[in-house]
Amino acid sequence: MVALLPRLRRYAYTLTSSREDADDLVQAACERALSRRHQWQTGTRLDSWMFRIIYTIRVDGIRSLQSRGVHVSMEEDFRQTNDGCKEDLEAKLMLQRVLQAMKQLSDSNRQILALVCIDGLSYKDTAETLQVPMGTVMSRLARARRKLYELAHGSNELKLSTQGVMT
Amino acid sequence: MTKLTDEILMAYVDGELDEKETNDVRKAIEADPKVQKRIEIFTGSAAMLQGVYDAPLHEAVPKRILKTLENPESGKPPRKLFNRIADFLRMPGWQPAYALMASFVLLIGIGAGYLASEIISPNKAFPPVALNSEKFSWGLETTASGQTFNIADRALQVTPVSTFLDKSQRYCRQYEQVIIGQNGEKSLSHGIACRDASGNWHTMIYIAPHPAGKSPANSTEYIPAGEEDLIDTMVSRIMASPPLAIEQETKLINQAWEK
Repeated sequence: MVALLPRLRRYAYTLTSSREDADDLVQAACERALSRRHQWQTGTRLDSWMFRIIYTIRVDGIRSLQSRGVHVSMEEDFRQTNDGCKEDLEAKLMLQRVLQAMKQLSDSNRQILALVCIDGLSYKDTAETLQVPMGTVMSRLARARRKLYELAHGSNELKLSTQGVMT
Repeated sequence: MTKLTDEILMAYVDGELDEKETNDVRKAIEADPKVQKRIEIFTGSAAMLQGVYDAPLHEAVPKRILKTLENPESGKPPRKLFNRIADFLRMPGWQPAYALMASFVLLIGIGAGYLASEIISPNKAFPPVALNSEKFSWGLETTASGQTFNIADRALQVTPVSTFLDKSQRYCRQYEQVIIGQNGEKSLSHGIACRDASGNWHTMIYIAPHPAGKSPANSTEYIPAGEEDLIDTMVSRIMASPPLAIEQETKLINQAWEK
C-alpha cells in the first residue's frame, strides 16, 4: 500500500486539481480501505480497488457539499505545480491551460484521463478498475481527450465529432 | 482496411492495437495529412497531463498519510455506540463467570434518544437502585415473564420480559423496571440480567431514562433510538438462540433453572 501512495496521490490530484484536497482524499481512502480490508479480494488489483475508493469518496464528497449548498472551489495556485518548467514560458502556459481545461471537465472525464493518460493503465486494466466494458473505456476516453484538446487549445478548429476522418 | 474512428486512432497512439491494425493506421497517417492532424488530439494528452500532475510522484508522501497506514485507529471517527457495546459484549469479561460482576453497560436516555454510554464498574455508585440485591435476584429466579415483582416496598417494580440463553450458555432475562418516585411519578428502565452458577442474577446492561434537567457526565454520543429498540438490539447481540417459550420458562423456574 505504501508503495502505491505516490500514484494514489497523483490520481487524487488529477481528480481534485488541489494538492491539499488530494491528500485529504488519499488519507480518507486509506482509512476506508483499512476499515474495509476484508472486502478486498486477494488476487485482484489493489491499485484498482484504491482508485475506486478514491473516486467514490470524491464524488460522494462533492454531492454532499453541493446538497448543502456549498460551492466547491476548484481553484488552485498553479505555482505549486509548475516548478519543473520555470524556464519555458510556452510550456508553462500550456500546462496552465491544461490545468484550467481539466477543471472544466467532469469527474468521470478526469477519472479516465487519470487512469490511462497519467497512470498509464492499459484499456483492459482501466475497464477492470471502472468495472465497465472495454468499448466504454475507449469511447469515454476518446471523448475526454477531445474535450481536453479543445479546451486546452482554446479553439473549435476541430470539428470534434465521434466520426473518424476516413473509412 | 481498419475503420479510422477516433477510438482507433487513440488506441494506435496508446499502443493498444494489434499488429495489422497498427500497420493500417500507420499507412493512413503517412498518406493523409487529415489523419496526421486528427491524431494530434491524442498524441499530446498524456505528456501534457503528466507535466501538470506528476509532482506527487517526485516527492515524499506526507507523514499524515503514512501515519494513517501505520495506525489505522488514529484517523478514524469515533466508533458508533452499538459497535463499542458489541465489542464490549464480546470481551472475555462477558464470557466467563468470574467477570460477571466486573463491569456492565449503563446507558442513560435523554429526550428522544440516548446520550453517553458508560461502561462502568459496579463500584462507581451505580446501580442507584437495588438491581443486584437478593430480592431482585430472587424475583428473577422465581417470576415468570409478564409477571411483576416488587422490591423496596413497591417503589421499585420489576417485570421480566423474556428469557434466553446467551452465547456462553447462561440464562439471561430481559426486564422492565418501574421506579415510583416520592410524588408518585414513574420512570421506566430496561435491563438485562444473567444468572451465575450459584443462582444469583446480575444486571449486565441497564438502560435508564435520564433525570430531567441533568446532563449525564461524560456524554459523548447521541443515539437516536427508542429505548425498546435499543434493548432489543442488545438482546439480539448477546442471545445465542431465540427466547424460550413460556412453557419452557415455567419448567425452568419450577426446577430451579437446572438445564
